[in-house]
Amino acid sequence: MDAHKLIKMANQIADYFDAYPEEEAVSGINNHITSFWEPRMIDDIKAIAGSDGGSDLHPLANKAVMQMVA
Amino acid sequence: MKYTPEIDLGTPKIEGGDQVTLTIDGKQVSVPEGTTVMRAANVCGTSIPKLCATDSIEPFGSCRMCLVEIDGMRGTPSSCTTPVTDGMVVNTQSDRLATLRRGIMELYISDHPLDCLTCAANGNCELQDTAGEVGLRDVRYGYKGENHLDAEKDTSNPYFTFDPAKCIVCSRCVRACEEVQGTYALTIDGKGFNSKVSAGTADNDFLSSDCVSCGACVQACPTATLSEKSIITEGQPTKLVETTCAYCGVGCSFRAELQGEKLIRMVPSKAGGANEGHSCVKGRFAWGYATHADRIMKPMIREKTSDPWQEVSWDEAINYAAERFKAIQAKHGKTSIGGITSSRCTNEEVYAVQKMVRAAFGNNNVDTCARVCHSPTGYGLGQTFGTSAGTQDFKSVEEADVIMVIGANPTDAHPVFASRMKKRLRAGAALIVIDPRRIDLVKSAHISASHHLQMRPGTNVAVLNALAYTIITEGLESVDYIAERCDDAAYKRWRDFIQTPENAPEALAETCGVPAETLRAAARLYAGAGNGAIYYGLGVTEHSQGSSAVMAMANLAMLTGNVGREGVGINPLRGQNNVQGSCDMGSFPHELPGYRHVSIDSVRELFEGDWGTSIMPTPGLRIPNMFDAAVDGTFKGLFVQGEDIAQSDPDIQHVSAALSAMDCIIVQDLFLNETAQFAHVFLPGTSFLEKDGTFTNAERRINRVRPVRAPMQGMDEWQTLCAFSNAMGYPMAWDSAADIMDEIARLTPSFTGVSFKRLDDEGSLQWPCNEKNPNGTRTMHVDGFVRGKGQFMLTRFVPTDERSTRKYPLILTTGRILSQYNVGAQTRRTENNIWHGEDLLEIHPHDAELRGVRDGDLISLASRKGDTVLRAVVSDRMPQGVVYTTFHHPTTGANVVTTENSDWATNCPEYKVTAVEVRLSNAQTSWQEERDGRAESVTHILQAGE
Repeated sequence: MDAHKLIKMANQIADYFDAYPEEEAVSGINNHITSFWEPRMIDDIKAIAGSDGGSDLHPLANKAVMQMVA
Repeated sequence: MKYTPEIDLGTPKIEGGDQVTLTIDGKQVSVPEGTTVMRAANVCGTSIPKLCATDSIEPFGSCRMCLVEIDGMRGTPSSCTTPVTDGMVVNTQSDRLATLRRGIMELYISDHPLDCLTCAANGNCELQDTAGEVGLRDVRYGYKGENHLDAEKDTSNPYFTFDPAKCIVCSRCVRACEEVQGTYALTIDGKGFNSKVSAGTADNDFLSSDCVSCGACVQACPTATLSEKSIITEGQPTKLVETTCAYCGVGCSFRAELQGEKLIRMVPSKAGGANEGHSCVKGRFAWGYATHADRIMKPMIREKTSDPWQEVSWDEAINYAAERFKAIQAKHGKTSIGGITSSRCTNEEVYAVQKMVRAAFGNNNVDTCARVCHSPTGYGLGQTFGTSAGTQDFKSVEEADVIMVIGANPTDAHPVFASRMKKRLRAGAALIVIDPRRIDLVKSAHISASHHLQMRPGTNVAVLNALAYTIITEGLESVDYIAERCDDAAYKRWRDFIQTPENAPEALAETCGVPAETLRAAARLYAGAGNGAIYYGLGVTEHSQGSSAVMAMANLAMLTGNVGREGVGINPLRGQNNVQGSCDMGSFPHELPGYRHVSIDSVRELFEGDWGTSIMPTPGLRIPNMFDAAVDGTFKGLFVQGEDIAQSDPDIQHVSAALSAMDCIIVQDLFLNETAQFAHVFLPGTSFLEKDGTFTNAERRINRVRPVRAPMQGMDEWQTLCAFSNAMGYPMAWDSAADIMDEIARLTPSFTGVSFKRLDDEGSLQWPCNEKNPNGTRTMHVDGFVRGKGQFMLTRFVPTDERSTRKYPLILTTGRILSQYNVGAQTRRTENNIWHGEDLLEIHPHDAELRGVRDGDLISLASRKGDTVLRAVVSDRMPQGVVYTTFHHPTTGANVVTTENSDWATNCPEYKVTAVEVRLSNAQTSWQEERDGRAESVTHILQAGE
């Protein structure tokens, strides 16, 4: 799927959870994406996080997605 | 059932109060204190002649027909204005009363046409009935005196006529317009013999007056003065079916009045819990689309979208569709197809679609049009309160002391509820409006908002945070309520967050465009209310922070103790008639019916056991994700039930690209809509007049939808879905729509107590309706929140990425108006076009002058996504820098301009903020020309055998 859109979506989620303490924010982002995103979107964002595109991700979003990869 | 007129008890019902016992014509009756003698008499089965009284409006006492004798009281008081007292003895019949009544009737008839046999009201005329009741036999004054019989008839309104020759000046129409509708369009002009009903315009015509065609005056008229044109043309109804309106989320109950299967008129039902006898122009009059010539009655298929449509049998269409979908899945995988449910369809039809997708398609790629309207409501209220629904019923507004309307325009989009709200406002409740546009509620007849926070589009969360900051820092919060009802840790954290200086009104005033003192004053008013009620619409949800704004409102309500009783709450005004229901029925790709996540094993097992198939444990694609996946080449087939995504969804050119990229699109609809231009299979649908099922309105009220006639295209929609599911390889069958509801009740905890039989017996039920709440639930969260403790959520303001620029310096916001409905598929095929035949762009005089734009000019409206051409209306309803239009007409295609931006939590599109530029223009855009070409070609239909 369009990497630019997925990055924007993940970053918006991170922008919301940014108000929370980091651990809770990362967990919240992870939970949100897992709860609402379809697997092919999750696969794509995982691929983005693991590539150069990861630098475009909000640090909290990147951390949350990398946790999914692990 | 056989037609019978609604019972009219003469004066309104009095709620509560001590019981008073009196004697009427020797019969004892007990009624609440404050009830009139007329109503008490009617309650005990004694009819008193009347003309100016009717139970939808306050008594007036002008016709003097309802005179009675009361022991110990001098003279003959009018029963409609005399309240009962304990021990009162009333006599409704005597020679003296008969003589008086006959004398009054004689005067009325001396100036009334004697054309009863050819009159439209013949058989349903209170004047005629009352003349019969009082035994009038002759008119001593003759008929040659001065009279009004030559008064000119006004036929300007497309749906009803006003014939002053038949008017008895009882003022029922004027009072209905004031008390029931709250528009004050009518008045009595002149004095004495010259008194006449006036619409207050130079030509005294209804069409150019302030009249909103709600029909309240027509309903109240006791003669043929105000008559539906359909009654004049067709005659009086003989048959009756109680059903539910198919327009907005108010969900008004109607009496469909018929001759055989032919609908003669729709009259709002007094027993309707949502509307209590009131209606708007759409539900009351705009039902002609159901039999419009454009309606498609036969299934059609085509190999390619460039081919003409070929009419085929139902079997052929369904097998063809199934083969194409199966071929797609064989080539591209199980998740390469999906479906979209419609909030214009019944709960039973929506349930059938999501079951078909999950069981027959084998995936969770099902979404609903709520995605593009109220999905943030589901998320926001789910997080804070624990369930995705408004907290109140509509009647609750009668107990509100302060009403806050945010991002909603009830007088246009939810007019019947707006009338209730206006009644409460006229009675003294205070009003706060938060909206960039000066909606009618801000200042209208006898209503004036205490505060209009005319904020910049996209700053709802900033405004709500500033209100919360004020309440906290000024010590206006409801400490005891919070301690008892809300999660303590979450509250303390939120409290720390909201008190940070960035949330202060002074810090946010410039961002919002609202002075800090106005923000503070509004906060004080809301927090100081005994009962503070919030009503909101898509101006809250359709933003990049839509879900945050919903949570911010929930925070405010918890903070002030305004959840869990009458007169308060958080109330989403749902856009379409069954938005609530389509969400309840499991239309979202991550939830099964009853808002239970697909990943929960026990939930899946429940459905798997009942359906005899496995369900995927991961969420499916949401509508915008479907489009992206289609463009990406991994999503190839879509079933679209009753929605027109090619007109309603944002960034139309992206939607078109997605639809064009798919291998097979199946559209089930009444008309060849914009989406059908991209379709390969067309399955004709049923109108609400043919549906058997239920709609659930914004107050969680489940109402019955009953067919007035058999499906005109030969098949119920749920039967079509069963056939399609069977052809796809999953056997799906029910004997009736009632069976579907039984299955819903069996599998959905909040619907356990719901059945067609109970709905037929009790009228309606508000969910949750189950063992714990056997009679349904008027008010949510009374003894505690559904989730347990209320959860304060942090709502940091994050500005949208969509900003005005030098190239696009204005902000466009979109909405809808009274006479049209959403994409207009229904209302554009009615006489409602007389009020709104095209989409118009409202632009502030300053912005217009800068661009040389005058009223009526053709202008180009352009954003970074696309452009369209429409006419301008110069209006100071918009603040400078903001323009507004509607999306009712496909030829305009307002959504060719809107963007891909969406809510962070739900992907609900950001319809309300688009950076645009406006310029004078003199021609259609290339997109419009292309669209018109497609629209022309889609109507090319080959009949069977051609």
